[in-house]
Amino acid sequence: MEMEEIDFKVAPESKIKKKPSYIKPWLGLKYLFKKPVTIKIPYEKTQIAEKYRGFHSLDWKKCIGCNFCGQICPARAIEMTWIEVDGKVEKRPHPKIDYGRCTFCQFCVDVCPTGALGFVSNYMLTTEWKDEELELFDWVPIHPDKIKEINEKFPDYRFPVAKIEFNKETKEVTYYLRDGDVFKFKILGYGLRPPAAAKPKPAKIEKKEESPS
Amino acid sequence: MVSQSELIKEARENGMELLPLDKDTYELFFGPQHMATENFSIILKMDGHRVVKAIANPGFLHRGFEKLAELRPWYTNIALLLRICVPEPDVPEAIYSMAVDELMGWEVPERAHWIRTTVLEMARVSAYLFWIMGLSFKLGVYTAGQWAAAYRERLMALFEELTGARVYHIYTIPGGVRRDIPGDKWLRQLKDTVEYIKSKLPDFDHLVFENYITFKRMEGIGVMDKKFALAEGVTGPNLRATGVPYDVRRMDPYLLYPELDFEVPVLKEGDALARALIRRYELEQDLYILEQLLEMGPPSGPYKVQDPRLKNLPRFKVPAGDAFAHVESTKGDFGAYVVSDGGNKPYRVQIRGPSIAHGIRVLEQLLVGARIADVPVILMSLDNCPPDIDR
Amino acid sequence: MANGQEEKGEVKEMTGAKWEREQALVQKILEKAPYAEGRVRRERRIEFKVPADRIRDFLMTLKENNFELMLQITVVDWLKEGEYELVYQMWSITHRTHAMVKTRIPRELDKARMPTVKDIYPVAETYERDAHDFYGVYFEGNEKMEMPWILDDAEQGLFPHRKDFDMLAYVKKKYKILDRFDENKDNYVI
Repeated sequence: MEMEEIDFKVAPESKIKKKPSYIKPWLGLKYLFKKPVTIKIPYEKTQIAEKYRGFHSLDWKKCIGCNFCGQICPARAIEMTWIEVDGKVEKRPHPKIDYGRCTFCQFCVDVCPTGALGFVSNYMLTTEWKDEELELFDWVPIHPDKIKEINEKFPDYRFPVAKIEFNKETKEVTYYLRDGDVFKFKILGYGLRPPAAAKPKPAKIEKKEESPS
Repeated sequence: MVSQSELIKEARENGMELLPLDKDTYELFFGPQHMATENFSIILKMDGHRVVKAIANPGFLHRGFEKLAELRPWYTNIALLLRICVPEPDVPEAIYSMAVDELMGWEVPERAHWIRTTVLEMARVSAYLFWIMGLSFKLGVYTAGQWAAAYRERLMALFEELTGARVYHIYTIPGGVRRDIPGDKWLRQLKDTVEYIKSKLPDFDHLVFENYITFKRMEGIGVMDKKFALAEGVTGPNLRATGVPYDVRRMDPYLLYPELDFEVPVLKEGDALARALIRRYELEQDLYILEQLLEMGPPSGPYKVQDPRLKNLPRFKVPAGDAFAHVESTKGDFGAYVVSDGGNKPYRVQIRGPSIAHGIRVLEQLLVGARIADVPVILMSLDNCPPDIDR
Repeated sequence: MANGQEEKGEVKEMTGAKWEREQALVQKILEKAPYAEGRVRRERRIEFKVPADRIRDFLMTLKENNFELMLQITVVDWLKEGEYELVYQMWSITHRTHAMVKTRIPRELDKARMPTVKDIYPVAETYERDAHDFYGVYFEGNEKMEMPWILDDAEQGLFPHRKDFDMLAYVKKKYKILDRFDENKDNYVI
C-alpha cells in the first residue's frame, strides 16, 4: 500500500519493544513496606472538590419560574411546583427536583437566567432502607445560605434535610432540617399554569410567566 | 449425592443444559457476567480447551442513546452521549461538540482549545491506566493493576476539581467548555500528577511489560496482519500494531495537536503483545503531550463562544446540515455524525465507536484456535469497549 | 515542534487555494464514476451522492482509489420525504480524507433494500446488521441479516430508530409505567 509520505514522527521500534525479564517483576516488592493509598472510610475523610456537582440549592426570592431548568433537564427530573408559604402563595412556580432521576449534570444551574438555582457539594445519596427516607430525595431546594449553615455544623456531605413529612390531605410539606429547624409550606399543584387553589390574581400570574420564555 | 444423570435430567427440564454438540465439542457462554468481557457475551464452541468457533453477542448495554439524543435539546445531549464510552467520557463529548461547532460555524476560542486538548489527553492517560488495570488483572499480575487504579485516582481528583464530577464529567460543550480552569493551583497539581505517573511508569514495565509471564502469554496470540486489519476497519493502537501509522491526531489534526510534538508508535507483529506495547508507549507519549501543554500554558481569553443565541439554551437552534468529527481515543477512531434539520433537537446523531470494528468480526476470527485462558487476554489486548458497540 | 508548525503553514496555503488536493481527488474519482455527484465540503472532507443501484460500483472505485477504511454506515430517516438516506463514512489513510457516500432509498420496509458491500469491505457486515436492526434496511447478500444483533427478541421487527416509532408509548406499554409528566408537557422529553 503506497502512502503519502509520512510527515510526522514515528517512534522507532527499538523504543517501543521490551525484553522479557525474570528478575524485574520481583522489583515490585519494594512497595511492600510502603503505606497503602486507600482511605479508611469512615475513620478518614475524603476531600471533595469545592465545586463538586452535588445537590441543588434554590433562592426562592430570585426564582422567576421560567421553567428553563425543566426544559433542559435530560432526565426530566424537574417539575414546577406551586407553593404556599405561611398562607401566601408564591407568585411563581419553583422547581421540585427528584434525585431518583437527576443525573447531576447541572445544566439546570447553567441555564437559570437569574442565578436562583445553584448547587452545593453535598452528594451523599444514601438511605438506610426506610421508605420515609426515600421521600427525602424529592424536594424543592432550600436557600444556599441555609445549606451552608448546616454544612458548617455537619461536614459530612449528607443531605441537608433529615426528614420530609408530606400530609396528603392538607398537602402540607414539612422539612425537618438537620440542625433542628422546621420549615413548612403547602404544595398547591404542579405545572406551569397556576392551579385552581392559587386563585388570587390568576390572570396576572399567567401573563408574567409567559414573558420570560 | 445426586447422580449425574439426575442432574442432567433436571437441567434438561429447566432448559439449562450446556449443549454437547458432538462427542468432543460443547457450547460455552462467555459473559455477560464474566469480568473480562465487561457486559458483553461471546458464545464459544469449544473443543477441549480450544475455541472452534466464536460468536459475539452484543446488546447487553444497549440504552438507545442515538434515539434518545433525537428527543433532547442540543446541549442536553452532552449529559447523555458521554455515557457511550465509560473509561474516557470526554471523547464522545468532544466529538459531538466539534460536530456541532462545525454546523454552527463557530470559531472556538483558543483557551477552550487548550482546555479541550488537555482534558482529552488526561482522559487518554486515565483510560490507559484503566486498561493496564484490566490487562494485569487478566494476566494475573494483580499488584500492577492496583497501582494503576491508585494513580488513576489522582487524575480523577483533578477532573473533579476541574469539571465537578469524577467519572462523567459533562464538561466539553458545543462552543467551548463549561467552566474555566480553577486557577494556577490546579495546573501545578496536574504537573505534579504527570511527573508522578511518569516516575511510576518503570514500575509498570517491571511488573507487566517486561515480565516474562506477559511475553509467554501474549506473544503470538491473536495475530492480525495489515491487510486484514484494514479490511475489517480496525483503527487505533490495534491498527498501529500491524504496521499502519494511522493516528487521527496526525492525519486529521484537530484542536492543538498540529502544534504538539509526539511520536506515533508502530509495530509490525500485530499480536497481542505488540498491541500492549503500543499502548504502553502511547501512555508515555500522552504524558509528554501533557507536559508540553503545561509548558505552553492556557492562552488567555474566553473559554467559550460568546453568542447571543446561547442565552436561551432550551430553544437553541442549529442550522440545517450535517457534520462528521472524529478524534483518536485509546480504542481507536471515535467519530460522530450529526445531522440537523434546523430544529432545537438533533435530527440524527450517530456515534461510531471503534469497538464495533474490532469487537465483533475481528474478535470472532482472532478467537478461533485460541485456548480458553487466552480469550480474556485477546479481549483485553484489543481493548474492546462494549458500550460503544451497543450504544 | 518545527514539524507541526510546518504542517500548519501548509494547511493555510491549501485553504487559500480552495482545497486543491481534495478537488483533484474528487475529479479523479468522478472521472471513473460519472454517475455520481461529488463536492468538497471542506479541508479533508469530501462528499459524493450516488444512486442506490450503483453503490457497489462506486465503493469498488473508492477502494481502488485507496479508501482503506469504512468507518460506519449511517441511516438517516427523512420522514417527510419518505426516504432513508444511507451515509457510508469512508476514510482514506493515503489521502487523509474523509468521504461521505450518500444514497437515498425509499423508507417503506418492503422497498428499503440495498445490495450488500460486505465483499468489498468485510466490516460492512457488522454495520449492515446494525442498520437492519434499528431501521429495517435489508441488505441483500448479507447472510447474517436475520441473526439477532443488539435488540431483544421482543423488539425485533419494530425498528425503533425510525422516526415514526413512538418510543414513549412503547416504554409505557412494556414497562407499564405512567409518567407523571404525561399531561400538557409537550416540551418535555422522556
